[in-house]
Amino acid sequence: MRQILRPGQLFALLTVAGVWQIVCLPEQARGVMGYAGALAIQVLLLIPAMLLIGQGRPFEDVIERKKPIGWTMIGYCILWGARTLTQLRTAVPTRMQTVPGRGTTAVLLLVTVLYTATIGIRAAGRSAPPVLAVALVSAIVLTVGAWRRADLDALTLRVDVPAAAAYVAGTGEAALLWPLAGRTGRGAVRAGMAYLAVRCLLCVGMTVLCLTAGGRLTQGAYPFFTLAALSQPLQGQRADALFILVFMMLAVMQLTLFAGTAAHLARVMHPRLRGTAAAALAGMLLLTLLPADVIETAATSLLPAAAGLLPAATLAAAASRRRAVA
Amino acid sequence: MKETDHLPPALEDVLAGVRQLAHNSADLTIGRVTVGDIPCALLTCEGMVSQTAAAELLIAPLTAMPSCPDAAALFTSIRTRHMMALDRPTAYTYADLFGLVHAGFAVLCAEGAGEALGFGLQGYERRGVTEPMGEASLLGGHEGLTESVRTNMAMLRRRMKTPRLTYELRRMGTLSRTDVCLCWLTDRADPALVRRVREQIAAAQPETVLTPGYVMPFLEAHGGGLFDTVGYTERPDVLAARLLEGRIAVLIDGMPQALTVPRLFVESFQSIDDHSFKPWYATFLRWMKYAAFLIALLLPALYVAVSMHHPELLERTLLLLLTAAEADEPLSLPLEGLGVLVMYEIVREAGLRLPKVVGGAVSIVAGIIIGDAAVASGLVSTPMLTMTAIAVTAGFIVPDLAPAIAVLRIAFLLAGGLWGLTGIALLGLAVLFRLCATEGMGYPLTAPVTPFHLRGMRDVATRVGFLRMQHGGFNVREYREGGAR
Repeated sequence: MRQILRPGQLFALLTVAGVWQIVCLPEQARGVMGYAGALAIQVLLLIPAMLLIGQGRPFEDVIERKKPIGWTMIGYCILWGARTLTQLRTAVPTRMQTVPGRGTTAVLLLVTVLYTATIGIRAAGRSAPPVLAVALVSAIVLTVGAWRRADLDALTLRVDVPAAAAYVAGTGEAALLWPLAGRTGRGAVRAGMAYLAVRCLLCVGMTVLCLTAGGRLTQGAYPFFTLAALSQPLQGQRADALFILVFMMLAVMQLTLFAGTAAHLARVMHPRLRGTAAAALAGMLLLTLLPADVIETAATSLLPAAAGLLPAATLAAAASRRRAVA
Repeated sequence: MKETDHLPPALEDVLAGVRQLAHNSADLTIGRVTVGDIPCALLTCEGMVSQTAAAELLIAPLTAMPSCPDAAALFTSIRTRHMMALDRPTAYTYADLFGLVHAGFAVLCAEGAGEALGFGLQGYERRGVTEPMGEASLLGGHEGLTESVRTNMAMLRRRMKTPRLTYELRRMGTLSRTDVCLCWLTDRADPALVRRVREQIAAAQPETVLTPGYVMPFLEAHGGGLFDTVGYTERPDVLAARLLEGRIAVLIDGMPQALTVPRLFVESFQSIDDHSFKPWYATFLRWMKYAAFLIALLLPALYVAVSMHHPELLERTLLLLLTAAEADEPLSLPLEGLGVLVMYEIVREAGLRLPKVVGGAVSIVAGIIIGDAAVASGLVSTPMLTMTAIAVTAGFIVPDLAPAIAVLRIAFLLAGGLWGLTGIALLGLAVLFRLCATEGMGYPLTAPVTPFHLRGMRDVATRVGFLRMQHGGFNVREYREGGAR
């Protein structure tokens, strides 16, 4: 089977999805030290998946024999896609002034995602580095604009447990490390580690900015959007419209990641299936009919199972099989 | 009588068959002559054979030949003792015979032979070697490819005097039977790629091949969409450089362009002069071209989007200036932009298709109308016209991408006008995905940027010094991902 993603693309794709989650964080942390613990928990959670990747056991091989695992992961992707849509529903109308109306924005976004997800997860992987570059440039612009207001005395190093927990709970894309790693082995492990580190650094960076430049202003909901409103790097009256570009790109990438992965896994199990991306997107839309807190609870509850327990169980099953053979 | 029939021994039967199959075509000339006491006929196609060469190299020696007992002895004598032409193929069927006659060979038929002997004495009118129209160079050679495939092969050979440069001549087109030449360097090109190109060309059976567009679809990726996956060049030096990087070229008789596969998107930003200038200047030019591409694509759309939907992004004085300029315009900004862009495309097309003398006049009249009258009458605002003019001028820097830019620029303009930066972002991402998904023969169009190849970046992000470039041994094969999507 042809390799879907290179390690660099895997890193970029997961990091872009991670940036989206950081942008959509509903609360600002009161201190930056909690993220160190969050990073440690994430690494622990992903150790079984990394072991499997390092051993050269692709997810595709497993689901060809055990389809329920594949369908579970597809369900997970659809659930997290639905969570992304609810995040959009809650974040966009209140915090961003997009030009088209709410309905038009949603339709445009879904049409774009349908197109990008249909093209395939490989194209998403190749598109991720340029999008990540745009996101990083925007982060620099944001920092330059906000830094003028920064007051370093406001920086606190204490541990904010709820914020760290929310950070870990938002790492939905991490569970896709194993399904997307293919046979890249150690390269994918390194990509996974780099993704976790960069994601954490970016989150720490934004928290530092919020604490020092935003102060009390960013303590309300969705600190990124408040920070974007505060950061005015250009000589214009307001520059936050620039971040619409990045926000929309990240949203499309995030949804494409989940819809594209679901479609890819479905085709691995049933190569003759057609319209898998559209079906995955339709599934996400259907799920958004549920209350947002139900989706949130279900998605965050499934995260440890998909990211940690599933690979751990696969490892254990393989070990017991080896013992039985011996 | 069929073209696939073998030539009969009797000369009169051969000639009757030829006349019947050619429907007594006016350009077929049959010259009866006795050679070595054997009745013969010399078949040529009018205007295809060099009269001087035929008279001096063929007719004079033939008429002076000693007596031969039969046609077989005559042909043996000609083959072994006389060097009337370098290329002397034998025709066994009417199809072979017509193939030779229509390719400019003089074909000798003899009584009792059952075969015919061809002499390569082509002498049709052809255009000389001139400077290429679309790829001018300041510091490089000024020779461009011509319409003759054999001239082009010779021009390339002059630049690559190595047996590793291989040519493979084929015929394409069921009616035109056009000469198509595949060329590659045996130690550089991927054998799988060579095999695949050969198969694609063999499988392609158009009726005729009149422009490169008749061949390109057979070499292109499925669903390539807006972006070409087959490169082309008019310059033999560029062609040599591409072969050195492991690409395969297709030369087509009648066309002064060579097609090359695989094509990379970054090729559109490279020129032969990049390797003549100092690296720092070449790098500067390279980045200027990237910026020009983005300006050509996005500037009108960004102007419209920001002016209409996000004016808070503008500096106060600039905003007031634009407001004053647009205040009295009867049309909305997107319509204004659309009008100017469509008008530009019409003028460009008119200038291209009309005779050169009239074409220049069209450009002047259109320039005055658009540049002066439209603004003076208040139909188009000066800022909109300025933005469009900058975008159009920037597009000239990357002519390879002109078709994609022309269409996408209008699409972005409409997206920006209707949905502001949101529309531009979403359309931009869709285009990026399509670009990244495009592969030609298993080679991603966007390599070496994504998928990322560090070694490839030295001629993309920068242009390193030639001494370092020489030691790189770069081959496009490194980018191959293979297989179907």
